[in-house]
Formats: sequence, C-alpha cells, structure tokens
Amino acid sequence: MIKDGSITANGWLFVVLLVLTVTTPINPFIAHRYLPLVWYAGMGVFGLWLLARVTREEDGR
Amino acid sequence: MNWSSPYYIFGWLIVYLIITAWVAWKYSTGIETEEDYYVAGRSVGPFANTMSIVATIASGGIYLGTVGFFYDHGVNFLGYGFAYILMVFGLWFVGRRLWPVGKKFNYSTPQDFYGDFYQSEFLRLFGAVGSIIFLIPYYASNAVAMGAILERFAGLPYVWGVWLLVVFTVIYTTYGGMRAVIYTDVLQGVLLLIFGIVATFAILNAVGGYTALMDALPAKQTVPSSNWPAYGLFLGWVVFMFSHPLTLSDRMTRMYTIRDLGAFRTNVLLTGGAILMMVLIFALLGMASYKLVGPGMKPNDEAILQAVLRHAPWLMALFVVVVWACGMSTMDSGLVGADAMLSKDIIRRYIKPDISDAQLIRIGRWAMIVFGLLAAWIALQRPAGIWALVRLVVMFHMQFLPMLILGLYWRRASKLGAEVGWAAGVLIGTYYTFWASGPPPINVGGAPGPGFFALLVNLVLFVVISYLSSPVPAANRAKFEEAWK
Repeated sequence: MIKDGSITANGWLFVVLLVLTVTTPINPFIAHRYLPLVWYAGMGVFGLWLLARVTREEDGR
Repeated sequence: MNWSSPYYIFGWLIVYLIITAWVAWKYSTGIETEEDYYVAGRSVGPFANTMSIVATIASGGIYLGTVGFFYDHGVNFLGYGFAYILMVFGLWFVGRRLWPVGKKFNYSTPQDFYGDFYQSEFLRLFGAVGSIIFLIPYYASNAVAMGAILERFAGLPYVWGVWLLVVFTVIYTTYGGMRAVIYTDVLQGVLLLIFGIVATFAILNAVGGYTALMDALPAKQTVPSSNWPAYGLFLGWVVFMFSHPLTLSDRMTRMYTIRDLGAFRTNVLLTGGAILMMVLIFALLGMASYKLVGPGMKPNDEAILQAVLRHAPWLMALFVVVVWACGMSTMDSGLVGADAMLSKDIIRRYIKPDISDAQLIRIGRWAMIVFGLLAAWIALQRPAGIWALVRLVVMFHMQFLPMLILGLYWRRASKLGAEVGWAAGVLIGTYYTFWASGPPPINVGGAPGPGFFALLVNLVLFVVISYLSSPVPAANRAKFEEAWK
C-alpha cells in the first residue's frame, strides 16, 4: 500500500475503508432500519476485494 | 419426535466425538520433529488453515455470548464485525513477514519472534509465562460452558461434561499436536458455518424474513446510535477483536503453519469471507432472537437458546454439538500453544538447551496433561469470575500489538520501547480489569475498556521511548530483512 515512500491507489482505498468503518455509527446515509446490516455486508465485500488487490500487489515484493 | 430428548442430544454428541477422534487419528501422522508437533511441519493448505483460524476464533461461548451481544445491542455491536474486516489486512501484513522468518529460524511461538527480534529475554520469558498463565483460565472457561450446556440439554452432571471435554481434548491433542488441532478444526469450522447458515434461514423464516424482522425491531436495535457510549462500544470492539487473532499466543501460530506465502494469500481471503459470513449469521440470529423472545432475557445468551427451542427445535441437537465443537477447537489450540511456549521458550531456552526434539515432545505431552488438569480443576470450581479472566486474556495479548506491527514495519522500533510499553500496558490493563474503583481515563466501555486504554498508553510509550533510545541493532535487523526479501 506504500511504494517508494508514496501511498499507492490501494493504500488510498484502504484509507477510504478505514474512514467508512470508523464513521459507520455517525453515517447519515445508513440511518434506515434496513441498511446497517446491508452496509456491513457491502463493506465486507469491499474489504475482501481490496484485500485481493493488496495481496496481489504485495505478493513477491 | 422429542427433539430435546437428552438421549437424542447426547447421541449426536457421541457421533461427533467419534468422527473427531477418527480425524485426529487419521491426520496425526509423521510427527518426528518439534516443527511437526507445534506448527504441523509448516505444511498446511489454505482451506485447512482458514478453518483452523475460524474455528479457533469461535470459542465455546461464541454462538451464545456473541449472539447474545447482538440480542442486547443490535447493530450497535457491529464494531465486532468491522474489526474482522480490518483484521484480515493485519493478518496479511503480519503473516507475510512472520512466515518467512518463522521458516528461516524455526519459530513456533510468538516469543520466538519477540525475543529474537528485540534481543530481549524479558519479552521472551515474561511473555511466555504470562501467556501460559492467562491461557489456562481461558480454556477452563470453555470447559465451564461445555459442562453447563451438557448439564442442561443432555442431562449429564456438570462434572461429567467438564471431564468429558478436558479428557477427550487432551487425548487427541497430546497424540497429534498441531496437526490434530488443525484437521479437527476443519470439521469444527465446517460444522459451525453449516449450522449457522441453516439456523439463520430457519429463524429468519420464523420471523417472516429480513424486512419483516427489521420492521418489527425497535430503532435502537436497527439504527446505529451516534452517542458516546454506543460509539465507544463500536470503537472498543473494533480494536479488541482486531488484535486477538494476531496476538493471542496460540492463534498467531497459524501464520507459521501455512505451507507457503501463495497459500497464505488464499488463506487470508478465505478467512475474510468466512468471518464475514459468520458475523452476519451472529447479527441476524441475535436480532431475530430479540423479536422472537422479547427484550430483557438474562443472561443474554439465553435468548438464542430459547429462540431455537421454540422455533427450530429440530436444530437443538446440532446446536449443542456446534457449541461443543467451538469449545474444543479453542481448547485444543490453547493446549498446544501453552505447551509450545513452555517447551521451547522456557525449557529449551533456559533449562536444557541441548534437549532433543523427541525429549521436547515427550515433555510437551506431559505438560499438556498437566495444563488440562489445571483447566479442569478451575472449571470444577465453577468460578463466578471466570469471564473476567477471559477478558483479561485478550487484554494481555493486545499489548503485544505495537511491538508486533511496529517491529515488522518500523525501523526505529527499539527493545526498550517494546519492553516498557508492553509491561506498562499489561499492568494498567490488569489494574483496570480487577482493582480500579472507576473506569480508565479514556473509556470505550464494556469488555474492551481496560485493554483499549492500556493499549493507548503502551503505544505512546513504545513510540516515544523508541525515538529516545537505540533501535534494534542493524546487524540483527538485517537478518530479518534478508528473510523478507
């Protein structure tokens, strides 16, 4: 996620994941009774997709 | 048919135990070296390693206590789940550096790394002794849960349930070491996921589906609260659960057991997927239990039991078997972990450096029997404060997190910073768990409260002292960097 001292695209996506995670309790867009669990599942899938990218990027380095 | 008949439930348990014994016997072959016994010869494939991580994370109380937390707090407990989304990144970044040094230097315990990397006998010795001391009550708590559940549902006296768990687990773990642990974990992990999927469909069907469930629940269950206690709970659980698969002495060894880094990549992805599914199962079961049995059920783990008994009684026998499987999967891993630390970090390091692998394994087997007896003795007292000890074990191991991650990725990390930060974290966390009259100054509340604050102090001390003192010597660090290339 960091290459030659700079944050890569995957690094920025991880920052997005982190920010969306810690702001979940105050996120106004999921303040509907159907949405928090759907949001969690969506974030989980986003996390897995990003993990697949990160592990591919890091593999062999 | 009487699905709750004690004979029927006990019959299922016996079938499960026979299959477990067969799996342990079948896969516990070719154990000749310490590496075979403690880290399964570093030969485990990604699926087996994944199921082992999942089953070991799932302790005996997970289908009761964790589901109970969702019953109490609804979506406000989702910090628990977000922790695991982030944890798999930690697993990858720690594991991809730990696995090569483990293979190069023949590591099989966390203290192998901490002691060698920081050149610190303090971390090696006190880390091992502390981990052993805290792990024993941890797996004793599983024996307490198993004794209680068999007493209630299979009509067996509590004492018999405790002894059945301890004796059975000690026998197969002593026989097959980490191989037996991992391959029985595959069975246990698959069982817990299959049960979860079936139970979720059955219970959701009973409440009329997802939208009907969410419509019926009060807003405090379905919409995250943004006030401080709720946010503290969220944040505290994120950190609490993020750290424990990475730092608990027995779980961390799964980063040594995998066969290579390519397999490890698949392993972390499968782990992320399996845990995501597991958390959704727990959340839905907990919230549906709220709808089915109503609020105020005490203790909270009674809610899911009542929901299954009333609305899916045909699942009760499998439920008891799964709770039992979760308890065994945690206890067997703890036994091997504690044994490895005693044998390698203490006996081989300080008492008999020239001990052969065969002698070490023999002593280790006896040690496991003693640890099992100690756990049984604790469980037989049915101690009221056992769950505080469980919180303590996670709090204690959380304190390894800064030295682990910063040691692997920060060149300024110093021995003094690691030692002082860790010791201060453990002392502060223990103080606020047992003796303090009030909460810590920064309090996220609940079980993670003491450990979270202690971790903050630990981290600050680690960073500040590392800046003020000499980092790990370049020659020592170079040995590790060579392995990371």
